Amino acid sequence: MLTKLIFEFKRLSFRSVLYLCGATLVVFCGIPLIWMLFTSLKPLEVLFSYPPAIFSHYTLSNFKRLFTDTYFLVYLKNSIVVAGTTVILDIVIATFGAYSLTRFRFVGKELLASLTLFTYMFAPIMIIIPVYVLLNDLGLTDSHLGIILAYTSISLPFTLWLLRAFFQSFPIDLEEAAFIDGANRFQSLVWVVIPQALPGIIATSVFAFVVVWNDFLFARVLLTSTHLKTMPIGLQDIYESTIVDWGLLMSAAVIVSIPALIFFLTIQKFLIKGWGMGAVKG
Amino acid sequence: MKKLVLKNISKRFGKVVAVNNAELEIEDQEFIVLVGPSGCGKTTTLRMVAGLETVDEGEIYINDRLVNHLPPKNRDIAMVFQNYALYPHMNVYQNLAFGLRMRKIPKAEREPKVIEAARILGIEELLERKPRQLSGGQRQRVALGRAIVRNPEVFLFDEPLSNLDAKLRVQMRTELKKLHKRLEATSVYVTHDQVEAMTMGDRIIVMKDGTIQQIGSPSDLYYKPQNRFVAGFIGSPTMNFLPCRILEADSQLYIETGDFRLPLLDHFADKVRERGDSKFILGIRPEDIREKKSVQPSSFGGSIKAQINVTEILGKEVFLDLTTGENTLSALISAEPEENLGQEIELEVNLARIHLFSADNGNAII
Ligand SMILES: Nc1ncnc2c1ncn2[C@@H]1O[C@H](COP(=O)(O)OP(=O)(O)OP(=O)(O)O)[C@@H](O)[C@H]1O
Ligand SMILES: [Mg+2]
Repeated sequence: MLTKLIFEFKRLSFRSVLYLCGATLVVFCGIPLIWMLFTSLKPLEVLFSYPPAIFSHYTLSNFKRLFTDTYFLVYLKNSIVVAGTTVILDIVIATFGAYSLTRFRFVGKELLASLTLFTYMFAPIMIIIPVYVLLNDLGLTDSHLGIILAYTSISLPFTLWLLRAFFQSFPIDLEEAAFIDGANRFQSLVWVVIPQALPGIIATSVFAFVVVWNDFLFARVLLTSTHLKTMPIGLQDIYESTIVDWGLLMSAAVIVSIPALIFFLTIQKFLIKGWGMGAVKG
Repeated sequence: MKKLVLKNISKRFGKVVAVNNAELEIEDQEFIVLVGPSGCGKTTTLRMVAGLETVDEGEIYINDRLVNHLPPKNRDIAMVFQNYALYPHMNVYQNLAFGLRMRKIPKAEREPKVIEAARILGIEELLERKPRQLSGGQRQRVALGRAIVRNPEVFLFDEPLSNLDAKLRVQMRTELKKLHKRLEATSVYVTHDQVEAMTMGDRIIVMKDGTIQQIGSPSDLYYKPQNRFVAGFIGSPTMNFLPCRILEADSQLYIETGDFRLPLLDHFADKVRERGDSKFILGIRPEDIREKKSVQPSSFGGSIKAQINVTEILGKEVFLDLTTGENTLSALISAEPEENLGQEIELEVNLARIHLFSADNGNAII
C-alpha cells in the first residue's frame, strides 16, 4: 500500500516537473510572439508608454497603413506566387524522383541518392554567386521564373531525400495488389501510392514552403524590381524607409507568420493520423 | 485445354536458385496446392505466374497464351496476399471495386458485381468501413472479395489463412473449398501447412529447395510418396525413418534394422531384388503401427519390442513415443496401452504400407 503510494507520488512529481519544463519553454518562446501581436495592435503613441497599456487602445490602424501606404500587398502576393509555384514544382519532381529511386533498379542508384543529399551540404551563401551567374546568362535574373527555378533546385535534394524515406517504408504489397487489380504503374502511383504517402508529401511541402517563404538571401540577390520582391526583402525595405515604425513592422510580421502557423497546424493533423494502419495485417 | 502451364521455369536471385526447372500443367477448374517448407520457392513460383516477378528461363501459358512478357494486368489473374494488402485509404466497397474501375467497367455495372461478391462472402454490412476497422477474418474476406469480383481466369493464393487463428483457419478452409466449387475457378494455393494442403487440394505439388518433388492427389502423396522428403513432409505425426538392410532367409526377404526384423511381402520383393544393393531407409507411418495383441486378421505382422517414453491421449487415438534399441519410434494406436511409461510394449506393423527408400538419394523403392 505504502509502496504504491510512494510510486504514485513519484509518478506525479515526475509529471509535474515535466509539465513545468514544458510550460517554461512555451512561455519563453511564446512571449516574443505575443508581444509582436500586442505591438501590432497598438498605435505608435502608446507603444513605449510605461506601464504598458495592456487592456486599452486597441486599433487596426497599423494593418490599415500597411495595406494602403506600403507595397506590402504586392510583396505578399509575390511571396505566395513564388513559394506556391516552387512547392508544386518541387513536390511533383520529388515525388516521381523518389518513387523511381525506391522502385526501379538501375546502376548507381544508391550513389545518386547519396549525391543528392551531398549537394545539400553547401551553404546557400556558397552557391548564390554561381546561381546568379547561371540565371544571368539565361536572362532570368529579376524574374519570378528565375527565382522559382533557383528555389526548386535548392530545396529539391532535401525533399527528394525525405520522400524517398517515405516511399521506402511504404509496403510494396499494396502496389503489387494494384498491378494485379489492373493498374499500370502510373495509376498505382496516383490511386494507391500517393494517397498513402500524403502525410509525407504534405510534411515535405511544408518544409519546402517554409524554406522558400523565409528566404532572404536569394531574393535579395536575384530580385531588384519592387513589383517582383517577396516579403522578406520587402519588409526590409519597409524597415529602411520608415523611422522604425514598430507598429507597422509588427503588423507585417504577424501576417507573415500566419501561413507558417496554418501549415504547421495542418501537418500536425496529418502526421498524427496513422494512415498506414490496417493496410497490411494489424 | 490446359488452363495454366509452366514449362521448365527457373528463377535465380543472385546465387540462390529460388525455382529450379519447374514443370506443371493445371486443368480448368482444378484446385492445386503448392506446399513445401519455408524458402522452397512457392511464393516465387506464384509471383512469376502473376507477373510480379520476371522469369529467368522457361515459359508460362495461361489459356494457351504465352504470358512471360505480359504485365500482371493483362494476365487476367487475381491474387490474394498473405497480409491481405487492402488499400487502407479506401473503404471496403472501393477496395472491391478498384479492380473493376481500373478495367474501365462503367459505374452502373460495377455496383451489382461488388454487391454480389460481398453477398457471397457475407460482408455486405461492412462495405462502408475502412480496412483498419475490420477484424482479421473480415479483412481476409475482403481480400477474397477483391479477387472474386473480377471473375478472373486463375486465382492465386499465397498463404491466405496464415494470419488467422487456428479455429478461424479451419472454418475458412472449408469456406474456401465451397467458394471454389461454386465459382469453378482454377486456383493455385500456396501453403506450408501440409494439413491445409491435404484437405484442400485436388492435386498437390510438393516443393523443396526450388525443385518440384512430386505432383499428385492427396492420397497419392500419402500412400505413394516418391521420395523420403515427401514421405516425411506429408502426414502427421511424421513418418518414422530407420536405416535398414535386406536379408534373405529361406527365400523370404526380411527388413533388418538391427533392433527388429520385418518380413517383406512378396509383391515388394521383386523391386527390392532388382536394386541389388542392401542398404535402405525403412519408412513406417505412426498410424501403421499397432499393438501386437490386436486380434483382427490383416496385413499386420512382424514384432517390435519397444520401451514407452511418452503417452499422449489425442482423443480417439493415443500417440506413443518409443525407443527400440538405437532408434526412436512414434506410433498412433487406437487405445491406451496397459503398459506403463518405461515398460516394454510389443507392436506390429502394417506390412502392406511400409516404405523403403534408397539410402543414397532418398528415392522411393516401394
Ligand atoms: N527478392 C528476392 N531477392 C533475393 N532472394 C529472394 C527474393 N525473393 C525470394 N528470395 C529467395 O528465394 C527463395 C525462395 O523464396 P520464396 O519466397 O519463394 O519461398 P517460400 O516458399 O514462399 O517460403 P515461405 O513459406 O517462407 O513464404 C528463398 O531462398 C528466398 O530467400
Ligand atoms: Mg512465401
